[in-house]
Amino acid sequence: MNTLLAIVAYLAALNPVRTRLGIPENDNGGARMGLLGPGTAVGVITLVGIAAVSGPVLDAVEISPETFRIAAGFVLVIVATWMMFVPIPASEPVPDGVAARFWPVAYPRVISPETITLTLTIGASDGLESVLPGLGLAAGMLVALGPLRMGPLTGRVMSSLGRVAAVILVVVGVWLAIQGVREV
Amino acid sequence: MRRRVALHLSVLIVGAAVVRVGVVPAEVCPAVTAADVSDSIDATLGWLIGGMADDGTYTYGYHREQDRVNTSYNNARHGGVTMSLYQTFAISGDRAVLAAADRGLAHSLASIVEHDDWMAWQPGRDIEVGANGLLLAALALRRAATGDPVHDQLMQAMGRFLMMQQQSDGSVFASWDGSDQQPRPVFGPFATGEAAWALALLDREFPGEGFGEAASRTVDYMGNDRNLTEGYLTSLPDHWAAYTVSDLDSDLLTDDRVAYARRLAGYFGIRLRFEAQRRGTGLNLWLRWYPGPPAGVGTAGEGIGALHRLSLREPRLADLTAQIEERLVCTAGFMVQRQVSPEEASVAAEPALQAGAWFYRGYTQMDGQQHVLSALLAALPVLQAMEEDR
Repeated sequence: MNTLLAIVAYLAALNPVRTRLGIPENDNGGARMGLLGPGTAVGVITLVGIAAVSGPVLDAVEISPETFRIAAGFVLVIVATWMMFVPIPASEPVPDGVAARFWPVAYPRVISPETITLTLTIGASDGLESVLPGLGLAAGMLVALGPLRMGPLTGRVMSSLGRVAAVILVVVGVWLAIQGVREV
Repeated sequence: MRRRVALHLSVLIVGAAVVRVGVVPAEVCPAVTAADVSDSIDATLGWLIGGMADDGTYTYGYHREQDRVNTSYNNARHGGVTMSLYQTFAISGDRAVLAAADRGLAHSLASIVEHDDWMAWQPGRDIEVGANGLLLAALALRRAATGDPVHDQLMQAMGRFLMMQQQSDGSVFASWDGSDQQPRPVFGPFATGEAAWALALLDREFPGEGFGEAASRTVDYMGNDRNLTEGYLTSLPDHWAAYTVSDLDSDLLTDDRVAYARRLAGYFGIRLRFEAQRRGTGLNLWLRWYPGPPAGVGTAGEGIGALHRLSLREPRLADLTAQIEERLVCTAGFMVQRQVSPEEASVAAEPALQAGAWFYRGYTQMDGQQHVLSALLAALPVLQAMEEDR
């Protein structure tokens, strides 16, 4: 997977516009940046860590990177289908203290089945250098959307764009699965 | 909040478990050495050569549970086993294997017929192109390994027979009708590739006589038109096609043919990765079924082995070499493990019919041994090179 495709895949999997709809907000409708910034950072760092060990992890569970692409495609298609039918993530309770750096932004919004599988497959096949641009861009976009105030119209536009990203994720998933079948 | 965290984590863990069990079970590649593969080759040679009859035929098949030999026979498989024995001689230089292959060859040479300017092996009423393709491949491998020109005239005449069966679009009619005395317009799933490979090998022995160009036409047909013309829903993972592309002269390796070789490597790759996931027990049995028939696994192994040779000499495929080697070594690992060892066979009713064989659900057949033998012959130099590098 070349870097451009990895960027598209991460934008679709992290789906910043949909994910933004699941970020706890403050009274004026913007995201709580005190949660979004650290949570996204923790999520990205964790995913980078997963990418760094993706090869040994797949080795340890005796799955070739080529075959794992099939699994990744399978997961992405299922998650993308869920995203299409559920365009707004459920709102999650926010804990106090340091736990708020991990929940609910880092996990389950940034670290999710789709970003984990995508990171494992790109990391194992193409290395960290293919993970970083896409992951960085998608995470940056999520943070950049933080201050956006959510009104009824903004919410509708965002959920529609999230659905478009979900459709793209289906395509990415199918493409990955086909690649996994065709590769040696 | 704890309930929400628990819910998310549960979905993640259950989802991962389902994917692991249902989509990507472990691909188990048992450790194997070149010595293990050599022993395995020797054991299967014992089955093939030890079971030869006085007339040069091989033991066809054996049902382990009923302790019953299958007495039917198949000429294409006879040609295939003979060809594999010459492949073995080419690598091992073992004169006993050459002698056995020559006995198998003599059986076929007794039924050679001559028509106009061509000759063919005609053991029955009709002439099967597949059997002739494999016999001619065997003759070409023999000539390459021994330098013996004794069958040159026959080989060229058999090549002309195969070219007569070839159509202008590169397709090959699988049979010559003994009653009508003309090619019968039917296709066979493997006869096309068998004929093409024989022509490619013939071109190596007799360059400049048009055999390579003929083989190339059939490669183009197999790579582009065969599925539609012959009604296959999916592309045929044709190991004979892989051999053909691999043995084509470098001047004939167009981008299109190299792309076909790459696609073939992909078919064999997924077949062998899937095979490595098969355990044949418990839940895996229901999800992946029994470890595959040895002939099927072996063809994928020898197909990818042929493409390994091509990837070593063809820069446009060099990026595949490491992955192909991984598949070859893995295949050697699980096939050596699945083989009936002489020790296991020693307590069986008919040790000679079990030792060195691969069984599928209680049955073994000569082509199972043949194809796995060819796959192991392809894996052996890869393992030897790896061990030398260490």
